Amino acid sequence: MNEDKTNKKLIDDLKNLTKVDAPKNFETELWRKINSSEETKKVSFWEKIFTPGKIAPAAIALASAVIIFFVVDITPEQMEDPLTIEPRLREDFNVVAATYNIPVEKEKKSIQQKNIVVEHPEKVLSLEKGEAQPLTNSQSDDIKTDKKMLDNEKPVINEVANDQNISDSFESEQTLSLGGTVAPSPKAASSSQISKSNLNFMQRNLSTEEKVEVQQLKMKVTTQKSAKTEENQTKSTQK
Amino acid sequence: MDRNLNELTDEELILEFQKSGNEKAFEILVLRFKNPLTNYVYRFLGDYDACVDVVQDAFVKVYRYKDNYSSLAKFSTWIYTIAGNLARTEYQRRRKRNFFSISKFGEEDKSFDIPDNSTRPDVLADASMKNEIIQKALLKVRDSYREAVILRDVQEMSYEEIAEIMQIEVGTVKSRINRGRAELQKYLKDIYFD
Repeated sequence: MNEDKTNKKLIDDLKNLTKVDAPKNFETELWRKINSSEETKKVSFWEKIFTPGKIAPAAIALASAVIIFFVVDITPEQMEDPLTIEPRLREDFNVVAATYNIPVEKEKKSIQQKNIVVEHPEKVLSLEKGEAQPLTNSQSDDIKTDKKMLDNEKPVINEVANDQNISDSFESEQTLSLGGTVAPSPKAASSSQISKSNLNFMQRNLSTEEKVEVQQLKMKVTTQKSAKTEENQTKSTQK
Repeated sequence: MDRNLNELTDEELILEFQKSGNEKAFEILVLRFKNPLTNYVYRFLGDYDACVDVVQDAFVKVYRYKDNYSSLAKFSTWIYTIAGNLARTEYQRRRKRNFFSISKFGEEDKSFDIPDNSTRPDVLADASMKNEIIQKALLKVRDSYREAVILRDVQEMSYEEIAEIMQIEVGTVKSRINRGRAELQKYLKDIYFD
């Protein structure tokens, strides 16, 4: 009931709100607006666009765009992604790659072979003939491949051998300069870094016969040494 | 001739203006609708100068687009729809402008109640304090509710007419009027519950 009363009161108050009238010059202002809007209406959109001041630069821009489109030839080659193009093959690069691809062990073996040839040509012959030791299949294959390698990679091996010779000669010069008493120390090499395989000397696996020969030679040397020492001792005692 | 035109209904006058382009018919329509439209737009916007501009713009639209009027609808509904749309646009534009002009100087998240200082002096002289308070409360009500309340309680229009002007269902009109009144009562509780 109370709400209805307040609602009624509110409605009555809203109805009795003072009426706001238009100003006296409403019509004159209205006609001024209508006339000004008509003037602006007369100039249509197309008339605005097709004025010589706007057509000329637009035509120039269009013509230049057409010329650029037909003159500047955008070929698909230029548009190709450079990342997708395969690089051109370089011959010198291939040669270098081939030298790097040579396996180190095989290179060593080939150098050893060469050294054997230089130092003991008769042993190489015996090895080739298979007189010294009967070879297993894998060993014989290795030798064959080594031979092929030697034939194919002669220039590379020569290079490596030359380098080795140079280093050897340098070493010998150094030792000479030091009076042959002191050996030159290796370049900052720790004991852990040095392994037998990395050392630059000839490695040979001796056969049993050769081992016997070596033993006999050692015995000879020791007997000669002991004899000499005995002689020296007897001489000293006599004196 | 003038006497005859004055006797014509609103619809007949606009049809006359459409057919013959008789500006006298248009002038009579302006004379008939300028005050009710000014009152309606003023209650909605709360600014007299802006309201006069909006009403004039509404008449300019009627003048320019007279051919868009179809004889099926009432002229009053048509012109009120035009004026209502213009008033809504103007209100939103002003609200944005006021918000940004205040937020420049104040805290960013805080909003302010803008005091209405644009009330005409002659209106103020005639109107009681109550009228002023009601007008301020009206401006606080949500746009869609306020429009419905003004059309119903101030302009005294029927639900059907309001539904046509606001282009919504009659049921929606009724609910909006009720909600608008409830909101108005909430803002005017100092007057009605004391």
